[in-house]
This record gives sequence, structure tokens and C-alpha cells, in this order.
Amino acid sequence: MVGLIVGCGSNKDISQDEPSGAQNPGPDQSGFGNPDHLPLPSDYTDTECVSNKRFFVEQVWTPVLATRCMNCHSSLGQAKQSRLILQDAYQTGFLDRNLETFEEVASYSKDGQPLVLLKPLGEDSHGGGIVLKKDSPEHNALAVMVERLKNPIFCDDVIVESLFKNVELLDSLETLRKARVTLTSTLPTEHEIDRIDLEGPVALASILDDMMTEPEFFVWLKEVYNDFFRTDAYAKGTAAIDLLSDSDFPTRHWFEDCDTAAYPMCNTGNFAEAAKEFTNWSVAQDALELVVHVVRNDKPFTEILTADYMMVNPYSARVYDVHQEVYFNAPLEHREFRPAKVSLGGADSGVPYPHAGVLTSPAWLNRFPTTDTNVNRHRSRMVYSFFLATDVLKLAERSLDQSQITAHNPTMNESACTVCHAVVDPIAGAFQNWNNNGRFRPPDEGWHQDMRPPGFGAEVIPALKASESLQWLGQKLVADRRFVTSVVHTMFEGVMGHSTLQPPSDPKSPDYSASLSTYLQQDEYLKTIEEAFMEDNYNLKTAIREIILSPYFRAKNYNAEQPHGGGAAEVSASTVALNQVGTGRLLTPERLNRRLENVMGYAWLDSETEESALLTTYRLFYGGIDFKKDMIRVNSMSGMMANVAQRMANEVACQAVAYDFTLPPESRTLFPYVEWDYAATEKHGFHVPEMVEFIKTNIVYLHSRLLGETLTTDSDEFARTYSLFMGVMEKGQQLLENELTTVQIPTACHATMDLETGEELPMELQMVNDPDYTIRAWMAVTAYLLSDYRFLFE
Amino acid sequence: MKRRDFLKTTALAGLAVAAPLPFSSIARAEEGGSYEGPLWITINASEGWDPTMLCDPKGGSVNSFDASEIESVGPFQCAPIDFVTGFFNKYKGKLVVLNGIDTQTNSHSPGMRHTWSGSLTQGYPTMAALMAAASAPEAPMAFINDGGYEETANLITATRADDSKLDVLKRIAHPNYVDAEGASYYHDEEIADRIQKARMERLQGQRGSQSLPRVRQSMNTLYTARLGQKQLRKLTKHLDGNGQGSRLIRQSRLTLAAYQAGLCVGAHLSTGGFDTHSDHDNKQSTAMKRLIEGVDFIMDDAEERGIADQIVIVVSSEFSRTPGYNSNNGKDHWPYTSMFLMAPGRISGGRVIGATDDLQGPMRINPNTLEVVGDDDMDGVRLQPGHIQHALRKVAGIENSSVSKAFPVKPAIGLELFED
Repeated sequence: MVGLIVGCGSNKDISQDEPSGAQNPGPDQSGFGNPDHLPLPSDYTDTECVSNKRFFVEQVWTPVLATRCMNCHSSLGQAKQSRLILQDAYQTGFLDRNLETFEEVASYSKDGQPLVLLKPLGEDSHGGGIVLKKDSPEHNALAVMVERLKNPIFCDDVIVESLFKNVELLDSLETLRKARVTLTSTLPTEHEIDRIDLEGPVALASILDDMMTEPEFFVWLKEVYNDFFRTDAYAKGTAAIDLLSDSDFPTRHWFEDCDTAAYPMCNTGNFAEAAKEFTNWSVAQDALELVVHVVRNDKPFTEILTADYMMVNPYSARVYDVHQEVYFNAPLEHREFRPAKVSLGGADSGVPYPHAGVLTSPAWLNRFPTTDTNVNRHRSRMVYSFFLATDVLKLAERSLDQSQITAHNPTMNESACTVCHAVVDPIAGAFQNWNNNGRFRPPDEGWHQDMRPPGFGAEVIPALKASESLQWLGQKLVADRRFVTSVVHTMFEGVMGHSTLQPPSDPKSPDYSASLSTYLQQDEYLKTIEEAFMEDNYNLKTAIREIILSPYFRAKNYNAEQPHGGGAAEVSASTVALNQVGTGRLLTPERLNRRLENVMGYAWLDSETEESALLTTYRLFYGGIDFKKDMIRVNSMSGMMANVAQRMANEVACQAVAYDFTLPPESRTLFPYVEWDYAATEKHGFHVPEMVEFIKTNIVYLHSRLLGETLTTDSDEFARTYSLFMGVMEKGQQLLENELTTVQIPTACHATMDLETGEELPMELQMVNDPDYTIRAWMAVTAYLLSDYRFLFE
Repeated sequence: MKRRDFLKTTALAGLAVAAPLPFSSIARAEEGGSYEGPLWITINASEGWDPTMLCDPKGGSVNSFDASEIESVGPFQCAPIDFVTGFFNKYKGKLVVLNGIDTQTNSHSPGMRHTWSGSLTQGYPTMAALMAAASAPEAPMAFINDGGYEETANLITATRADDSKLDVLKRIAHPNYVDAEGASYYHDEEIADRIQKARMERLQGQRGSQSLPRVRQSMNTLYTARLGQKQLRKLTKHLDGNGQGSRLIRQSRLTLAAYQAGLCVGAHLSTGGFDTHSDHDNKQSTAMKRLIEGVDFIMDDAEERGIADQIVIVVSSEFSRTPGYNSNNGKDHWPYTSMFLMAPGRISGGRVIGATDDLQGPMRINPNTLEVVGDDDMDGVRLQPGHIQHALRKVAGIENSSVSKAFPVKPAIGLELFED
């Protein structure tokens, strides 16, 4: 017996073999009709290819299984002993799994009739009684689905085009610019622009591949994963070194007893202090540097969980006592990381550290700590989140009534608990050899007998592999398709600034159908990227490139005036889908800082500390995180953040403008086409056409330089900037005439020092006075552009 | 576009602020006025507090103290800990305690979500963000956030700040000052106004030509943020640069100053140290003391500022701790928790609602009288965060607002928890 129960009432005690005829119309007692908001088969045009999956989702899952069957036919429902156990939207790939389940159940029949058609009619002892009427649209849909399973229909899905109908996409050059800002915080090079001009769009993929070999790209990549791993929580002080034990790594404090043969400067200056600082930072970086190493060398990304080595640099190599085995080009270069196999107890111990990529990184293990009662469940949750695209906490969205839990050892025996623990506990057990402090300490008496055995899903780690349980787990994780999904989803979020769509969970919601359709289309689209990623030997750059080239990233605008031309369902789905395209992403403090450095040549420095203001003083005020207390980025602009951005613009303009005029024109960042005293009008107020042209040319240049924006002098935006320049200059001259301001520019903005050398400039080069208010007019224009939407957002 | 039109447009588009702005908010924004309603401060005792060491003591095997040591302060039963009894004695006339709240989960994130949004479902906004979005979304620091359950559901932008850096706050409030004290300017003031005008015009132009919702939303939030920039100057007048005390106290001081300046509607703050799976009593006591000191500070400071009648302070946690101790002298997760609140002038104090039994099991209450009833009373209701959320929305007068309707929490049986 299949034991299919459809539409049982939630308050009724229904046994699997309840006699036929139990009348229970299910939650929807008002009738058997198709809810208004769901698409009907008649919505499909004659020429339209409707795949099995699409038909299942639209005609079977949404109107029948999710709304009529799910209450009972779930792992916690009254029909939990039946074969039709449906997964809810919380589980990655739930629709594929449910289609597979439906297909399997549909293969059972009685007297030649599939049970999936008999049971909902109340036949064959269906515990839920009559749920569907014969010949109702829903029952017909089930029948069609059963037939379709015999002759599956696959389509080249074209709905994506429909979803993005009327969405204007960035052209190749615009895509390049956006990709540059996103991945490297720079603007396209002239060579890249020339290539696009000469070779056309086909050059874009190749340019992106080249871009992903640049150092700035790897800075971005580390930031993306750092926001997930948060291992930079240990980057300062001795936090990372303190995670290690003397018995495991006897040389972890190597800098306190510096090897003068290797480091002749040991006894000079603050070497020990600096070495300690670099060493600690280096130990904290191993997981992130493994990600970088794998991607830089075009290795399969699966290696982040299977690597039998860890990443060390000249400093951390000494901590792990592998400095004799690993060759470094520069013994003091902290950015040079290389793979190394480490031993516990020092290089000569012969006890290998059981490397399993990120999973055995001391910083990573400690960042996701456990306790004696948590028993690695938190680590398990993180593994699911990072590497299996699954948020196990969503399983906890269902309510739990602790007072009804009476079973002995409920995490093993109580269905309300096992729904989570059956998922979480096997992986928790796989961390059995790693203690609360992230140290390799296999338990003397094995893993807890009152928990599920260490493993992955239903698979248990063989006893002989117990000492290598994380290596075993790493292999299993990367073999799971969800690993690929997790990688693509992580990169999507890194590139786009927002996460992938989650499937809607409430079938009764009015926009359920449109949301589900949009989710499915994105899911299908991302699956094509997953395929490309796998086909290219799990090369992460391929996934990133495909996301960049996707309409999600390239969406530029939407033409609301243009008729959509699709059916009602398509229009509805398109409307929901629009929310997912384009970015409009606020730059993080780190990326804004890099953008400033790349455009201006230097960072915005705090006048007191001389450190990057965005990375120190204003980091948290500007929505940044410290990886400890503040771990969630503020991703939209608040009033306070807008003021920080304005201060940045004012300070940088102050620092940069007058100084730029002290340089020869060919060396200038901002003003190659004008001199500081080029005024558009002479003293009687008449325009000086030659000067006006220079000024206009420089304004066009500034828009391009700072914002990557190409303006013509007849555009509104050009006119606005030119008007600002002229207006400020004229107003300033009035202020000067009326002695309401001084000839000197603000002291903080004086250009008296060489910003590169710190040496005083020759007196004739120094910029202090501004008799025509032109320097201050350029300061106004520069501040205006540096606080522009295009500068602060992506 | 006029400011009023812009705000209306963004509201109708469901973008910068997801809900339509109340007319009073639009008018206030146009006039650069201040928010004058109540200040909502919610505080999460992060990682799961133990109410049996505060307002729901048991003694016996549940606590390390005996049941006979439990102290009665007015209607309240208090753990026999000095700072606890002192706190209850001081605020017994203002306090409302709710015990036996069923969070229906043992997990941190869902627990926080349920406690502070009234729903286990993902995506619901935290209470203070909802209050801010419903009352004065245009205020420059309408919602201040420091940890806990931070979800805003895109209703409003969270502000993160710290009063320990007064000089920095001054520099932020006055971006045209060269130094914190305003001895000189980067741009002459009239010039700074011209730059700002040009900025806003350009942003309006950019926004006008953009139809992708996500991009428009970013432009709208930038525009809205800039509208209130000058109002931030009021903030520093209400900060004394003290910068002392726990993080909770510093955040509270900033929140009170922001409210006094008319910039803030709500704040969701947090203080941690409650995940006491080992050495429970010592660690829990330390964390609880820090929490209680923070709440005490808020009430005292509000009194000094003359805004005590405007405060609504709500304190709770994602769940509680088990009735017994584990092998490490710790306590694990337990779904039935407590909450206490004070809202002088709005909610009558000196009351306890709900209860747990001797082993911290939840007890039902009569939905009409709120009296605790037996388990066999099928009309009895188990207190849940949704009940409280709904009741507090009524106190705020926003239960019928569009943001409330967008995130409904009305339980099947509503409880008039805070009606006099």
C-alpha cells in the first residue's frame, strides 16, 4: 500500500489505514475550483513548450500538492508514514525532489489506475477522504501529469526572455565599467576600451578573464568570503595566535625568540612587534587565502574543502614550523602565501595535521565555535549555509511545543525535533575530532552514543575513517550538487549585493504564483551557470564571469511604456522579476576606500590618525562591520551615512584640488586641461571663450575620471556641473568683493607639501591664495562629484 | 519636485520607505520639524536569558537558591539577587512583567525573530523598526540599531552609531566644518548650499530616468537621507561627550539624545553574555547585571532629560534557559521566556501577566481577565510574542497602519494586555 493521504484535516487523527469513505474535504471546504490567481492550462498557447517541471509546478504542485496535500504529507504530518513525503520550500531543490517523489508514487497502481489519481478521490482507503472531484481541473491536472511522466517533455526555456522583456541591458562598454567597479574598484583601461571598440561584445568575456587575474580582484574575492567566514575577527593583536596551542604548534611565538640568522634585523627597531602583528594577521588569513590560491591557480573550487594543505606566508610558516620546507620569494613579504602540509607538535613530530581545506582552518573553526552541549551543531549549520545552500534554521520556523515533547532522547525520537536534528547532527558528528577551541582532539570514547552517528545525510562515516572524519566530509560535500549551488549563490550575492531569491513558502499568498515563477526562472538561470562552472572544472572565475554577463547584472533600466505582450501570468512574473535585476548597491567602506584610492591616487585619511578614515574612524558609522559585534552590513544610506559621504567629499576635494594644480598638467589627476587661475570671465564680467572651452573640457574629463560617465557639452548633466562651477565662482567673487570671505583658501586645503614625499613644496609652487575663487569653484565641483550617486553606489 | 511630492511618490512606489507616509510625517519633513511621539527602545538580552534569575524565580532544582529565598516586591516575585530586588523596588510602580511567553523555538535566530517581530516567519521587521516606519520614517535617525534582531524589512534604514566618539559625531553632523568645533569651513556656507542644491537636482534627474525598482530604491534612500542631513546638527547639542559605560549604556545615551533632538523614533539594542551553557549562575548574573544597569540608566537619563514620560522600553530575549543544570553547571535553551516593559504614562505598571509552573512550563491565561488558568481550561490562551506585538501596536496606535497590515501579527485570539 502506498498510503497516500491527500488533504487531511489538521485536527483529525487519521491513521494510515483508515477505512475508505472518511469524508474530509481538506482545508479548502468551499469548493474544488482552481484558485483565481493560479495559471490555467488554457493559459498555455498552442505553440508554447511547457516542460514537465513547469507543468508540475504550475498545475500540480501549487494548486494541489502544496495547498491540499502538504499538511499531512510531510515528514511531520499525519501521513508521515506514507510514501508521498513532500519537502517544503525550506529545502534546497525541493521542487525537483517533490517531482521525483511524485513520479515514484505515480508508478504505483491498483486495477490499472494510478494511486495518485485514486486516493484524492477518496478511494483505496485514503485517510484524508475525498479531496478532489473527478474531472475537476486539479484532478485532470494530476492525470495529465501522470501521462507526461511516461513521455517527459523538455524545453529550451524561453521564459527568461519574457521575464526580462523591456529591460534595457548595459552595452559591452557599460558592462565592462560596472564589472570593473564591482570586481576591482577601478575604471576600464584604455586598452580594454579599445578592445571593445575593435572586437565588439565578444571581447568582454576575455577581458573579464584577464581582470580576474589582477590583485584587486583577489582583494574583492577575499572580502566576499570574509563577509561569510568573518575570520578577520582575529586579524588584530594576538587573537589568531592565541587560538593555537603550544603543544600543537610549539613555535607559534617564534617572533619572541627571533632567528637572527634568518632575520638579521631581529634586534633592530620594533621588528619583534611588527613580526608579531604580521604573524597574527597571517594566521587569521589561512581560510581566505586558500580561496584565493584555488581561484588564482584555476584549481577546482572543490579544493577549498578537500585541500590537504593550508596556506602560509613567511610569518605563519614559522608558526607552523614549515619555513624550511616552503620557499618564499621574499622572506618578509606578508602577501606571499603558499601551500604547506603542517604537522602537529612541530615539523619533526611526524603527526600530520588532518587538513580538510577551510573545514580545518583554526580561524574558521573558532569563528564558529561550539560547546559541550551544542556539540558542533553550530558548525554543522554553517556547513549547510556556506557549502550546501541550505538554511537549516528555516526548519525552525515551524513552531515547537516543548511541553508536548515526551519521548526519551527527543533529538533522536521526537519528530518535532528530528526534523532539524536528523539533518544537522550527522555533520555535527563529523566534527567529532575538533574540540571547542578548534583543536584536533579526538574524543577518547568516541562520539556521543545518544546522537546520530557522524556522517552526511544517511551515510555514516566508516569506523576506519573516524580519525579523518572532516576529510571524509569534505569529499562528500563537494560531491553534493548543493555545493555547486552554494558556490554560485555566494558569488551571485558577492557580485550583485543581494542574495538569490528564496522560494515563496505560502501557497495561499496572492503573489505566490508570480513569486514562484520568478524564483524558478532565476533558479533555472543559475543552474545554467552551475553547469558552466562544473564543465569548466569548477573554476570559480567561470561562475563569476557568467553572472557578470547575465541580465541580472546587466540590467540598466526598464521601459515601462513598452507593452509587455505576454499573458497575465507572464506580466505578473515579470513585475516580480524586475525587483531582482540591476544592482544599485551601496559601496562598502572598504570598496569606497579602494575606489577613492584608485581614482585619486590616495585614500581619505583621518587628519589625526593618518589612517584611512573609511576603514577606521568612520567604518562602523558608514555601515561597515567589525566581524565581531557588528556583523551585518548596513546596505542602504541613512542620514548619518550621507553626512559621512559628504564629509569625505569635502575633505578629499580640499586635500586634492589645490595640490593637483601644483603638479605639471601631464601629472595631474583632476585638472589636466586648466590652470588654477583660468577664469571664465574677465574682470568686467565678459566671458573669455578660450578659457570657457578649457573649463568645459575639464568638466567633461572630471565626469569621466571620477564617475566613468561620458558627457557631451550639450547634455543637461554637463550644464548642471558647468552652472555649478560658474555659479560658485561668481558668488565667491561677490563674497570676496564684499569681504565676506578671504582670498586664502581654508588652511586645511593649502597645498604646501608634496603629498607623496611629505616634503615642503617650493614657495613658488605652493597654493594658498585664490583671488578669483577659481580653486574653490573646482573644490565645489570635485566635492559635488565625489558625493554623487554614481560614486557612492555601484 | 517638492519635498512633499517626493516623499509621497516614494511612499506610493513602496520604495525608499515601503509604507505610505502618514500625512503628519510628510508635513513634519517639509518643515524640517522634529518627531515628538513616544520613544520605543527594545533591548534583546542576546543568546537567551534566564528569567528565573530575574522576574520568574523558582528555587529548588531550577535555581541555586531556595524557593523560600525568593523575594516579593509588590506584585512581583524576584530572584534573591541584590541588583534584581533593588531594580524591582525602584520601578515596581512602572514595571509590567509578562511570564510564560511561548517563543515556540529553541534556536537563536528564530527565537529573536519571534520575540521582536511577533512572527516566526522570516522577513518580519523588528518592533522598533516597525514603530519608526509607521510613525516618522523621514526622521534622520528614525531607527537606531545595535545588534539583536536587526531585520528592517526594507521599511527603513538603520542607523548605527556610538556616542563614545563625540568629536566624530560632530564631524559627521557638520560635514562642512573643517574641525569638530566649526572654526572654519571647507566651503563658504552659501557655496555649500549651492553644492547641495546641485546634488539634489542631479539625483532627482537620475531618479527620474530610472525605472528599475532596485536602483530607484537606492536613489530614493540617498535622497531621503540627504533631506534630513541638516537636522543631524541638533544631535550633538544633546550629547555631553561622556562616552562612558557599557556598550548598552553608550547606545542608550545616543538614542536618548537623538530622540531629544527629534531625530529618533525607535531603537533596538542588545547586550550579550547570556548563552550560559556552562558556569550558568556566574555568567548569567554578570550579563543580567549589565542589562539591568543599562535599563536603569535609560530611565534615570530620560528623567534628567525630561523625557521620561515619552519612553517605552521593552526588554526580553529569544528564549530562556532550561529548568535544570547540565553537567557543566550550565543551562541550555528553553522556549518559554519572559518580558518586562515600562511605559510611564502609556501603560499602567505594577502588573504581572502570565506565569510558568514550577518547572518553567507555560501556563494559560484567560483571554478576557488575563488571569492564569489551569491547563484544563480549553478557553485559556498560551501567551505568545504575537499577542504582545499586537498589543503594543495598539498602544502605539499603529495597528491599522499600512506597515502593520503588511506584516500582520494579529493572533486568533487577541489579548488586551495593556488596556487600563
